[in-house]
Amino acid sequence: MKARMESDLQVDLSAIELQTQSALYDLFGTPDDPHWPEVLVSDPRCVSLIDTGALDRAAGPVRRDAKLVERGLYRKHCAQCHGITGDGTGPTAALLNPYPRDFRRGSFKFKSTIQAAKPTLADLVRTIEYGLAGTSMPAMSNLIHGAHYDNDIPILAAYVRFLSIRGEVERRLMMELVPSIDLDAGQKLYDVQLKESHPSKFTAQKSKVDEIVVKVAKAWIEPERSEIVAVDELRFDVNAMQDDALRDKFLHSATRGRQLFQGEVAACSQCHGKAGDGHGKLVDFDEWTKDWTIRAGIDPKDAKQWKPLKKLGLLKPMSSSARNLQLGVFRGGSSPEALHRSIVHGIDGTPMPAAARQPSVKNGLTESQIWDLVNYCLALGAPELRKSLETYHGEL
Amino acid sequence: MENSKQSDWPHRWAIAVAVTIFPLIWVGGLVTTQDAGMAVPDWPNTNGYNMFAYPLSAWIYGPFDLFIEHGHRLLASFVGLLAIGLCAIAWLKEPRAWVRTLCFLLLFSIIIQGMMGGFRVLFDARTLAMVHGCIGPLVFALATAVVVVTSPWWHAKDLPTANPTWFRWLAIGLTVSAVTQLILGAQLRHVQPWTKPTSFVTLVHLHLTFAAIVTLFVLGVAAASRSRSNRQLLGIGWPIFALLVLLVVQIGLGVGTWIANYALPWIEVHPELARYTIATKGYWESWIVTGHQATGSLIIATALVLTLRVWRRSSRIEHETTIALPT
Repeated sequence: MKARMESDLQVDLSAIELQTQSALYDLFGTPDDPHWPEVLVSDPRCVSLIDTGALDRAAGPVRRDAKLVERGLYRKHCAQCHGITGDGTGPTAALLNPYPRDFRRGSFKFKSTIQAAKPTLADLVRTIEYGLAGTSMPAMSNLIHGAHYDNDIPILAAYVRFLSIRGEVERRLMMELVPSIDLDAGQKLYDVQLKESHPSKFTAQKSKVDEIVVKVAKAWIEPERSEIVAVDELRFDVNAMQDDALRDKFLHSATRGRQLFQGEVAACSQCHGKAGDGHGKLVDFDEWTKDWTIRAGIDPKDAKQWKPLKKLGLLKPMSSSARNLQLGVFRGGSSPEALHRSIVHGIDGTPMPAAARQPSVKNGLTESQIWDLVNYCLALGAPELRKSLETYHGEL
Repeated sequence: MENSKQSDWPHRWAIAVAVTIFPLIWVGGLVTTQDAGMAVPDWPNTNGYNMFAYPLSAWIYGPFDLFIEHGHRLLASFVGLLAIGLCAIAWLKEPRAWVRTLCFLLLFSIIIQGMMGGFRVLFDARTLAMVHGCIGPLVFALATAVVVVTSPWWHAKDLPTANPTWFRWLAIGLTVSAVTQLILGAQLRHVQPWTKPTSFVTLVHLHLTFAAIVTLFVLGVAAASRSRSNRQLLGIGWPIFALLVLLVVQIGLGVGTWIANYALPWIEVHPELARYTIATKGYWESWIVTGHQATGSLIIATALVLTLRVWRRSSRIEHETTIALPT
């Protein structure tokens, strides 16, 4: 593996990649033998991140040792789709819809934290354990049965976090630091050979790189949780609607939600369609695609423009289709709170934006209106309630 | 060579070997499905123990991947012992030298296959695991061939013959394409985590193409068997029927494998489809995926039975002297 990557470094990778990869290997090790950067190990704030036991169990080839401890968990369960470095281009990636997540961006869709914040470890555990319905992301709950599998899922989650930090450092080094170096003049980003010969020069180089490493890692320490503002009278359980008065109250709220859904402030119907069936007019792309297309001046809808880049291993741009809410399957969670969170904070990395809310936006949505939207989404996903809503004439 | 005292024992032992190899292929497939090839880090020992002395409780109550990997080794050893027995019986009871050679070739291939499995562990080489996975069905096919050539049908005289040149070549084409298809499937199952997505897509497309080719060959031999010149050939009806059934089962398992591994297509059709979540290393997933691989082996073996039988009854071939079927 390492030999292959080293060979790639010398033969295939550009000068910028060469610089970045040499820094990454020194900081994070190889996929067979990874380690945390020294700067994080020595930083007391990062104690909660540094889990060398997880690296030991998750990385490297799949195998059991003589004590029957299973290793290589990531390669066993994740690498076929997410790729060995978590870049989202594992062997199967091109055939999947949606594509497997590229961890290097540090963006995760389904989480309990605020917009653009990193997920908690528990968020990653939940996605790994329950999978994502309708996608190729499997539920790995099988791994928690039996004494030998007890800790596998948190270990995988911790390794995903490690790969994401490693990957985001890689991106930032390439985009922020390497361009400031005069490569033609022989300047180097991170020259390991200077460690012995010119320690002071190496320290100067390393401190710049370390700054980026700490910046990336810090975002993962206690990311800000999303606070749900409860409006008790608008929080319903769609599975317990036997009471007529309760049902009427729910339909009333959902009807207001429908108006907002189709209106201009929330503007949900532009993507999700007027009926919430996912047939909106807007065609958009996720941030992972936009990174190498729109932001690089390439039209993802024009095959002539993006096709040459496929040779670099990039996957065909796939438009990010809005969810058909009538299916009642919400990947971020089907509870009213989970829907509330998706509306308030949007879904990171996708065209689903955070709602414009009062008081920060003058004409934005109020908290009650957000709960009305939640209730409309819940009604859309429950066929019987959806039908009732169509004939409901309660006064608003 | 006339031999009216043809013994039934080589045939019986050959059946025992072939019948034992098939579950071995299942367990081997399960090892791949569960990614359990390195569940035991040493070979020929099991966790430092002599393979045959590994504590029963550690095997039965240990992790599932260790259970199937160690079980695969024990079953393979049993197959090896049966193959030794077959060689001994063939040596004593089988008058035809080429059949005796075939029995020894079978034993040799089983030994090589076992060593391949061992080296896969010693060198932790997924590529060797893939080769091991490709050779397994060929060993099964060879065992099936021994069953066919030692059978009373093979010796029966006065059975009608025909001159089905194109039928013979269709049967060979089917066998070769089924082997190719299995090799492609093995590549997909043993794909390395650093394989490029484009290579995987190419493999999937090739696998689908060969699925179509195998289907056409199966339909071709089925149609050929009904032609006027071939209708008189006895003993090819059940292999063709089996091939047709296996083909339908295999296509279903292939679709099932995709769904179990990658996703349901058309999730928008119904909320229940949209709710479908893949279960990693799930019970049904394991059965379907492993069954797909095992059925591929069965198709190869059945295609080989058909090929041997068609060639045997070809009037162009000078057969060795046959003996009468026991009445």
